[in-house]
Amino acid sequence: MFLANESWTVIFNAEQGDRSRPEAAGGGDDLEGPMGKDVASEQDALDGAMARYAAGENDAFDVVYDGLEPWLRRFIRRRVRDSSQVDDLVQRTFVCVIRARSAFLPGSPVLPWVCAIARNLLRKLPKSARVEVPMDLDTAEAGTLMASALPDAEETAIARQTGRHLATAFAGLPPRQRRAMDLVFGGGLSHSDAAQSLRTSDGAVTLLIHKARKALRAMVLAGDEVRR
Amino acid sequence: MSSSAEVRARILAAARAPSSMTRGAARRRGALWVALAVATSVGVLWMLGGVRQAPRPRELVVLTTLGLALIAALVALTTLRRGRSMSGPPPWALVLTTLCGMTAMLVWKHGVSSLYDGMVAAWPERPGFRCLRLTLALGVVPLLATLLARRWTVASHPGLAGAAMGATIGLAAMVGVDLWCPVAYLPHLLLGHLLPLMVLAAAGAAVGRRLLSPTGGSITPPR
Repeated sequence: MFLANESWTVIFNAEQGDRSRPEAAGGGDDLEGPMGKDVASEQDALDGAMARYAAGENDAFDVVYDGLEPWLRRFIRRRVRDSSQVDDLVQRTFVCVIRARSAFLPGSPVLPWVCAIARNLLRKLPKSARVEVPMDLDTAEAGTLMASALPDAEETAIARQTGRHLATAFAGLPPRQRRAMDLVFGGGLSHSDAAQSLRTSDGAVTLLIHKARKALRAMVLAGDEVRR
Repeated sequence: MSSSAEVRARILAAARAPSSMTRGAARRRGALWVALAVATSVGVLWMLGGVRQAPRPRELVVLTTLGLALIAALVALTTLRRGRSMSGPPPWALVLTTLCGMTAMLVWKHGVSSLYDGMVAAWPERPGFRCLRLTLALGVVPLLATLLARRWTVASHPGLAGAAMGATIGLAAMVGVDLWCPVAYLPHLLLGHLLPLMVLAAAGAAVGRRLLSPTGGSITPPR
C-alpha cells in the first residue's frame, strides 16, 4: 500500500534525499523489507542461508522459505487480479528457486533473484490476469486509506481524489522509473538490490527514483491546481 | 485452497528432494559436458580432414586462426562467463559484444587474407555451403552442452543470453573452420562463416529461452 500510506511522505520529502532503504523511515506494511525491521542483518542471514542451501545444506532452506514467503506473497498479490492465483504462483516461484539452487552464487543477494523469477512467472500469465501497474492504482482504496486518518469530510474527499490522481500519475511514469519505484517502495528492495534487478548501477536507481518522485510531485500538484 | 502450513510443508519437502542439484554437482556435470562437446567437435574436424593449409601460406593460417581464437575468447568473456552477478551482463552488453565479435571475425579473416596475393580472389566453386555445414556441425554439440551446463542460471533475458551463447560458440567453431577453409572472398565469408553464426544464435535463443531461465519448461507445484 505504498501509495496509500506513504505517498506524501515519500514524494514530498524528496528534497531530504533518497533513503537507501525505504523501511528505514518506518511506515506501511509494504515498506518493510522481507523480514521486518533489522533488515540488513536479516537479509544477510537470508543470503547466507540460500548460499548454504545451494552448497547442499538442505535444512538451510527453512530459513530461506520463512524469510521470503511473506514478502513474495505480498509481491505477487499486488500483481495479479485473481487472489486465488497467489498461492500457486508462490509455490511455483519456490519450485523454481529449488530446482535452480545450483545457479545461486554465494555472496549474492537472494531477493533480486527471486524477484526476477517471480516476475518471469507473472509474465507467463495472460495479460488479463496481471496488474500492469502494480500499486493499487485503479482504485479509490489508496485515497480511502489516506482519508481514514482525516476527520474532515472535505479533506477526506480531497484525499480520495488525490489518491486516484496519484495512482494515475504513477501509471504515467516511464516504465523504468515505475519499476524502480515499485521495486524499492513496493517490493522493499534496497537500492543496490533494485539495481541488480534492473541491471543498472545503484546511482542510476537513485536517479530514477529521484526523477519519479519529482514527476509524481509535479503531476499531483498540477492536479491540485486544476481542482482549485 | 491449501493452508499456508500445508504449502510450507510441501515446499520444504520438495527442497529436500534429491532432484535439485547442488552447486558443486552442477559445476562438475557442466565441466564434463563441455569437455565432451569440445572432444566431439575436434573429432568432427579430424574426420573431415583436419587442418588444410594449401593454398594458404602457413603464416596466414596461423595469423587468422590465432586472431579468431582471440576474438572468440574476448566475446566469451562477456557472453559465457557468469562472473559475480546473479543477473549476468546487461542486454546491451550482450548485443554489442556479439555484433562486434561477428564483425571482427569477418574483418580479420578478410583483412588479413587480403594482405597476401590471391587469398581473397573469387572462388565460384566454393560458395560457402560446406563451411556453413561444418560450422554448424562443429557448433551444435558445444552449444547444447553450454546451454545444459548453464541450465536455470539466467533469470533475466534468457533468450538474449542464449543467442549470445550461440554466436559465441559459432565464433569458437570458426577457429576450427578457419584451419580447414582457405577461402576468404567476401560472399563466401558471408554465407559460409557469418550465416551459421546467426543460425546458432537463433537456435541458442530458441533453446535458451526454455533451458536457461529458472522458470523455463514445466513447473509443477509439489503435491
